[in-house]
Amino acid sequence: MSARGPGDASERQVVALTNNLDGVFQRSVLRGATEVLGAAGAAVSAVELGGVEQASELQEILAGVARRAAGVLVISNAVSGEGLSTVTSAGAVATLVSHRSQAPQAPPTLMFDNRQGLQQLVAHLVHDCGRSRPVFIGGDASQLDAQERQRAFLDEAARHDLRVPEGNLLTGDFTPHRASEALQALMAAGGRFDAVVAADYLMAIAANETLRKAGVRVPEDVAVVGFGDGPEAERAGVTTVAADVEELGRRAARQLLAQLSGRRLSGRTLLSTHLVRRASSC
Amino acid sequence: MTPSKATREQLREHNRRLVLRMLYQGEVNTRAALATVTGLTKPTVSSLIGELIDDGLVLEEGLGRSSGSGGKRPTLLAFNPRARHIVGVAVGSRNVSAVLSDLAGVTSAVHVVELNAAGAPAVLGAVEAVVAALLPQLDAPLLAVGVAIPGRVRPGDGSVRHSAALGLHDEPLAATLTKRLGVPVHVGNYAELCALGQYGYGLSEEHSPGTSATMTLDEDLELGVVMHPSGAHFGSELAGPMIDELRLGWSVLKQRAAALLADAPNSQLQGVELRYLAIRRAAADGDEVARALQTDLARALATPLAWVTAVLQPSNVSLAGGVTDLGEGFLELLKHEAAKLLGAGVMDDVHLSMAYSHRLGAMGAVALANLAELELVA
Repeated sequence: MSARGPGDASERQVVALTNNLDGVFQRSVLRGATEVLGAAGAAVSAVELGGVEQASELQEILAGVARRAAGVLVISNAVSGEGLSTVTSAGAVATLVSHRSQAPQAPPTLMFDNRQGLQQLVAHLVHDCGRSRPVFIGGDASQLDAQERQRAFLDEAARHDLRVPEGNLLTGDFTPHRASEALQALMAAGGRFDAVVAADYLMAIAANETLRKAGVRVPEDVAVVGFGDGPEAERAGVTTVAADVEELGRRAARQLLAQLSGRRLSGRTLLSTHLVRRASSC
Repeated sequence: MTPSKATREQLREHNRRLVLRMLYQGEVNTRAALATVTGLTKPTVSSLIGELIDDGLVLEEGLGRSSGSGGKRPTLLAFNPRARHIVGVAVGSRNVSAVLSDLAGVTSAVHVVELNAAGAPAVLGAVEAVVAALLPQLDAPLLAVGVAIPGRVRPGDGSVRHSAALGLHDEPLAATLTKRLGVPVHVGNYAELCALGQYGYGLSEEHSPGTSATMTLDEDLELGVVMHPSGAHFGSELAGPMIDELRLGWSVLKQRAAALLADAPNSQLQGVELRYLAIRRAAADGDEVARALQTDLARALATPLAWVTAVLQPSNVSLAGGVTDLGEGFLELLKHEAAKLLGAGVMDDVHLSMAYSHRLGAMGAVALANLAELELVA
């Protein structure tokens, strides 16, 4: 990229691409990333791509990002493989947050260790709480985190010799009200379960409220746990695996800054999680 | 450098490690108590503690109680495990993973890259790539890097004598990586480091004294042995020829499964990706092919287990690697088969367990680097 010399201010332009600027996850990542990038003297702007439907319009936006940005943070599945090529074609470096590209020379990824988190949640329910009939509320199946968490849940269930009928695998799309509706439908259909594992903590909070409103005792009758953590989970007393989303943003920013300083990185970094026990489980 | 100066420096380093280890173990927490238990003079202890505080390895944490005769209240000291980071790398035949750990074995991140080719340039490049990717995530200076490699490793200099899986032969891996990464790099055999990881960071269910053996079954079977309390580890040289002869591993199991499935059209394993978890689930449902595979594997593993038990008389034997997905039921089957070879009484003296961590090799590499640099393990 010949237009950018070492002293050029555009070297410090970072653009965050997201499909939903109002999403709790996306906002938290952006907040953490901006904190670290700002301290390093980088100017950060965010571009929302969620409402862009025309492919030509999307390409135009991404080409514009490619012209002005030295570094790009791609939050979740905001950009496909082709769009990613457009963004990096002009020489910008990129870090993918909770997203992955299979393309050769793909940018590095930073995400939570989904396998570790689900191991901790299921082991807690089985060993500490004595539960054996879990329900899983999955996230948006188009997102890598959702796919990995569902696979990890099923593997962990198998490792603990738990039988999980198809009907106990619900879809919540990382949307609390959908999680709540799916759980209500399961209860109405007479589904039997003694634990709920949600693919994110906001859906776990929704499940917790739904169960209580239906007169189900939490955790005596049903224990509730969820992936990730935030102040809302603490207020609601929901057990989680702490995966601080702002910290994810800060760590992604560190990775991006390393690339901006000339380091060539590849592969994926998984951030460790740990169990935070609260009232919704034993 | 004169010999006497070298000796003084070595002695000071020895004493520094001794003092740090006492604080790490939490046995004492004041300068006076350190002088008593180590036999060092109080001025020597104070000087060493001053250095360790400057390095961030020791923290002052308020005042303790004064002694019975009164007097000044002592300053309480504590080991700071977050003062340094260690990267532990596990090299597999398809990918290379690395954990970022503090000095107490608490990990904050893992990085994984694919390994697309065999041979020294590819392996060195992949190890460098995982370490480079974790450098931006350091919250403290990097003390050292440990690397776990499948194959025969010379303990003295960390060179790889032979690794069929990685296509390495007489490769001075530790020396090359130390030069390239600019930090000390220590290399050990994967299975030995799995045993060391259990010993160092309590990843096993039980932690009894004596000798512990770890049998790792992924692509191939490997053996690692660690002796308590020294942390001395060996195994790859000892068991290599016998294990090579057994031809036991995932590819052998897959061949056996293919042969059994050809005559079992109704097996649950038909059309399913063959994994240990799938075998476990099908066996629990009474699937004949899955049960036969488990029994075959238990019989095959019973030979090296009986050999390890008879020769080394270990207090613990752990199974590690993908095979742990077969669960505790498989452990019973294995013990039963080994007892047929040795007699039940002998096997009753051995605690047999599963090492479930899928990062055991990388944690063992952390322990190896820590042992070499600071001796703060277990």
